[in-house]
Amino acid sequence: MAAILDSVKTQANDIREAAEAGYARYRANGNLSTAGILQGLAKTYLGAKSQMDALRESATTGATANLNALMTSVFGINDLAGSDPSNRAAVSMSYRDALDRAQTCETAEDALALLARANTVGDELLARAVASVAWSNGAFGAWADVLNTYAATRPAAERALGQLYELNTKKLFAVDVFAFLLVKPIELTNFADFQIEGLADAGGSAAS
Amino acid sequence: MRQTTTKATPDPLTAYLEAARDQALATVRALLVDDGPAQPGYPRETQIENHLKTAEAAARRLDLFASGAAL
Repeated sequence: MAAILDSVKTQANDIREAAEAGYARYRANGNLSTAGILQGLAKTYLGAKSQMDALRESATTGATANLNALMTSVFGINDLAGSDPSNRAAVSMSYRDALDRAQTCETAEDALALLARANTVGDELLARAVASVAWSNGAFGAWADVLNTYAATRPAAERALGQLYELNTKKLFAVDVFAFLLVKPIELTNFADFQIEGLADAGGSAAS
Repeated sequence: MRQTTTKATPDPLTAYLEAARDQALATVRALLVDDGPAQPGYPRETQIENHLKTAEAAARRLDLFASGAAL
């Protein structure tokens, strides 16, 4: 499970607060019968549940997309390959070769030496390939030195790499796991969700 | 010198779960002790069980939050 952004937690809290406010309005509405209040609570609960499900879905998709974008930003070759198809194909092929070469490094020291050579001759593809291999090897210890050396002269990659580290080391707390939790209003505790749907669909008769 | 203590404000999800737990327990108490109104069509015992389950689930999650357990 990816770390949940604070903005997403705030949205989940907003949904819960809006639902509670909606329940309070129905409970306080003296014009409604008990059945009418139950119907209102059921509609409000189902609406909030639907919003929460959508938020959970978009947050999960968004977190994965964000991670992929960061990986591309640090180790990808979009900026070098351009949009010309033939150029892209040539750069992609060269990058695959560079990755094959970088993967022959058995130690971080080998990788550092290869990175130094790539930097000296301006072989950006090889430098990027070495960084990619360092990340794949755990990015800790001496492999972290490889990444730091790579990022030292590439400010954009340094920023994205910092975010990648943060996402990978951020602790996930129990409170995050339940970020999308929604408790049924007390009046609906005895009902299963399919019964709540039936209550919400009861039509105007129940709310009279 | 007068000392003041400040209680940390719980995060919104904790406050939400505490309210759900307290409300469920208050309902159980009403059903048990005060012989309060039960929902028609459901045995009182079943309703008490259901509210207890809600309270228990909330309490267990609150315990987890308080423990600071990280994955």
